[in-house]
Amino acid sequence: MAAEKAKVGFFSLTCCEGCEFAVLDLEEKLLKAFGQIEIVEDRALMEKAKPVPRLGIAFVEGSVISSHDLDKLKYIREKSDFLVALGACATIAGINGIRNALPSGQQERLRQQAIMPVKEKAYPLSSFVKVDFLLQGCPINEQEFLAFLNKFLHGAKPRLEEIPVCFECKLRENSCLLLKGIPCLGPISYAGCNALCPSENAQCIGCRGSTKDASFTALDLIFEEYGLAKKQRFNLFTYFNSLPEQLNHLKEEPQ
Amino acid sequence: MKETGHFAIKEITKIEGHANLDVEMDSGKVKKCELQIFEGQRFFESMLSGRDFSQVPLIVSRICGLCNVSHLNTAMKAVEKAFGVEASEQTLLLRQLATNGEFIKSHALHLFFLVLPDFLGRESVLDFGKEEQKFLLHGIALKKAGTEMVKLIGGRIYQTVAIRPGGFTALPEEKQLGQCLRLLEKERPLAIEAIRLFASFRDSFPFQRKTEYLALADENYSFVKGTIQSSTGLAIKDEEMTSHVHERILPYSNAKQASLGGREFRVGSLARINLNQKALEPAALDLMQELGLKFPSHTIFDNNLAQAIELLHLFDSSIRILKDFKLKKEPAQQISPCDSTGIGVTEAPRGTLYHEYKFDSKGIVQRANIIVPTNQNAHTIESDLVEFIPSLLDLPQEKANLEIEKLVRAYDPCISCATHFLKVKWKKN
Repeated sequence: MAAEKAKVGFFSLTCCEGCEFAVLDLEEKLLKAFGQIEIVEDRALMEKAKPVPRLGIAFVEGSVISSHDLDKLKYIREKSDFLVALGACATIAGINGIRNALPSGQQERLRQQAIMPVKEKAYPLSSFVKVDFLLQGCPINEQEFLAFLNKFLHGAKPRLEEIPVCFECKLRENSCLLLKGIPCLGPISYAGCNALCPSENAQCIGCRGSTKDASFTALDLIFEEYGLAKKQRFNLFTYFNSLPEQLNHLKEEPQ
Repeated sequence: MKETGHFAIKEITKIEGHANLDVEMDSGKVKKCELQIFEGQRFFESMLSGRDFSQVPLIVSRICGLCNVSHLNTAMKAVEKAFGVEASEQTLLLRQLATNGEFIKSHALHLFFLVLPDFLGRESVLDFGKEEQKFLLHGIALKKAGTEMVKLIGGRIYQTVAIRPGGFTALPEEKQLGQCLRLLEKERPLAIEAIRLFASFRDSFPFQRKTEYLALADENYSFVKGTIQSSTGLAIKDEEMTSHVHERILPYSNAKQASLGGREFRVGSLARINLNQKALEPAALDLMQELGLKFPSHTIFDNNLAQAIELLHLFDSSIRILKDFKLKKEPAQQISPCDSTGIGVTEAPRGTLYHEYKFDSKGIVQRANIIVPTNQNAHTIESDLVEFIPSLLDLPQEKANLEIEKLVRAYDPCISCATHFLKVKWKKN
């Protein structure tokens, strides 16, 4: 029985496009999956951006930082049954969001100096439209992408594993970086990356977003005990994420 | 196409990022030609201010999904220079391998996935016929030989984890290096075929225009060190680059345009081969001779061929390094920040890349400046089109647009990189 192929679109807002390239890196596995889907929009690969038909799934990478981004996002939302935010820029504003952590005076100066109008902040997709699923990370984990796609195509409901990086880190039997005095964001960050960074002996920098019940204050106290200055702690917590309210004391006086 | 009037190409496809072209014709001549980069500005330089030096390489590597190792390398060079750190010989070799891996990936992706459909008259790789599918597999295999190397050394293909200023958070295992070597040796014949393939297209684009060329060049064709050289005989130290290369803001684009002492110039594979072909690996030189591939060349379509030649060079230089590699346990060096400025220059896949950071005594960034290849090529792309478009007058507009896109694509522009910036008004204290 030849089932109708799911129509899939890839779209890119403001970002480095690394997540889309990470998808391409699935190579032969992707070719296999291509047998079950029809790619209808992928500007990086295709000649002409044709009018977008009704889509089964839209993968959208990048943040919303201009009205052009926003118009495009709304259009994609209208056209798609299921919208997946692809990667940190789309799920949590990611590295684009560092700008949101700048003192407000500096943010205002940025906007004034911009050549084409930009929004007040860099936003994740969910600030403007309903997002049906998140594929977290900077960049995404391509295995997770594939697992999602397979689940979706077989009618299973994909769900987010809401566990912190520490959980996966323990399973990999890594020795704890935090216990060694290295400021690691593992305890407050979503897993799904198979604790990639700690397994490379590098601290987690929170690219998959903060867990729902994150104990920011407790982790900040540990960092403080390790002798990290306020500025450094601020920088760590705002690598990929906006500063949680509990840590407002880390903010500098406005410049 | 019309001899007089306005036309636009919206969202040029098969390039990295979002760009439009806006053209105004008058009696068969191009009156106005603007490459408009409308991808949102990303303010990286401003985002860096106030950040710790240790975060800098990881933040700037996120400027680009295609050449993150290049941004990382260049930032590390700048950080290490600022704080007087000398990377060990092993560190430099591993970084060279990661660089080579990224170049292989980037070139293979551009050549086989983005450019080859142009030469085969297909809309995209998704439309390749049965016979042509093999090229797709070749591209994938070549790319994989590169990405495996990046993954092994950096822990991940995109946004590597382990490569840091002063060394590595974790080293690969010697056994894995051996696997990389075998993979490179296995796929090397495909790099040779790639040169033959792209050499066979050489005459299909006769358009020529001579410009100046700029590249960081050394006797090993290493991409990561050397002197910045130009085809007019300039030899520029890293620290002097900004007194020669000036960027200006354009009212119609979110990317800056650079000039070399007021003149337009090209960077990238073609520039590197035009300036430094003698330093290529012997096998690449032999094949160039056998096929009669003469450089310097002044047609930008040869940038594709130059990338293919570099592929073979990258394979051979990586194989040479890996064959003699004896891995030793070596912790990353501790870095003590000080009040200082550091400048790093390398070759990224698309051309010369410049990073500059001023740090305070605690290693916090006071200001940053980054000059990327695409902004250096932007002026020349427009000038090329001014000359190229009138030769397309006999074609229907849609066909002419295709040819124009092909020319832009040959530069392998990277818009994510091009829009990293903000017009920085540095406060002078």
